[in-house]
Amino acid sequence: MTVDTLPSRPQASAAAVTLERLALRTTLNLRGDPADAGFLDAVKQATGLTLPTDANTWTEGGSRRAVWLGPDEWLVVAPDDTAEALEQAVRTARGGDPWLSVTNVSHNSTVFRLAGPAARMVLAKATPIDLHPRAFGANACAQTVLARTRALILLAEAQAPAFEVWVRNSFAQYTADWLEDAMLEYQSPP
Amino acid sequence: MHIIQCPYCGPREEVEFTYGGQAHIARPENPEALDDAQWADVLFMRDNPKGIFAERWMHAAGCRRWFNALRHTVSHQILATYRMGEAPPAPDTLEEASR
Repeated sequence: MTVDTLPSRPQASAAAVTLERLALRTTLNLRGDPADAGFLDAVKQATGLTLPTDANTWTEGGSRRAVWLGPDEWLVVAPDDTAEALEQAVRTARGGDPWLSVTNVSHNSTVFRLAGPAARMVLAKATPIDLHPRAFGANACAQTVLARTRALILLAEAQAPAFEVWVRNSFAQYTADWLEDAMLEYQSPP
Repeated sequence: MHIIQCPYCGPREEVEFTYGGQAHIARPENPEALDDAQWADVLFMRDNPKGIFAERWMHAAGCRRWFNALRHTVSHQILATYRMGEAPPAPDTLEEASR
């Protein structure tokens, strides 16, 4: 199956694990100094997001999300086509900040959603990080290695569970093929 | 596999990291004043101890930050990691290096 033919919505089935490609969302790479309380407050005002300062976590605010990428770097995820307004809001709230960097990276990555009771088992074949709920629980995320390429893995729903897997566009087909192959043993024969 | 403690992300597999050579190299204040031999020394000559070595590492597949590590070159044991700009931990605070 090619990336383009992957279902864009979860199929109504009791499958142990499903893979779909998520539709495009606005994604901004945001950098600034979290030691500067004014920076965190300004971002909160402009976006409604409390930037996570704990490593490997993400936060939610309304329809937006902030994902920790590094000690001074976050990914802001928002509904599609809101990049310019969002970028402008942050820049206006933080005018003159020499450390501020806002970059529209909406088209940088392809995002897959891997969901179902076996999702952890499938993902564990591809990545060295500890995906056990005690180490990778609600609101966890990690930039790591996935099937020998680099990926951002994010636990979107802790109960199901449902993971988001962010990879560079050029690795999308490879990642989809790899995960589909890894999913085979959990799928009942047709 | 070998686990390295990223000062920002926590414990991660060695495959996520790249190596950056010797740490804490003092660059010359005035490079123009050096003769060729001294400049070659600055550029190319590095320590190669048998024992604890301060090195730079980068968490390439993670947060992409550089940091420093104290590694025992015999056992490959990483005894400590610390952020850029921080002083290395005192030797007596390190866990016993295996041989």
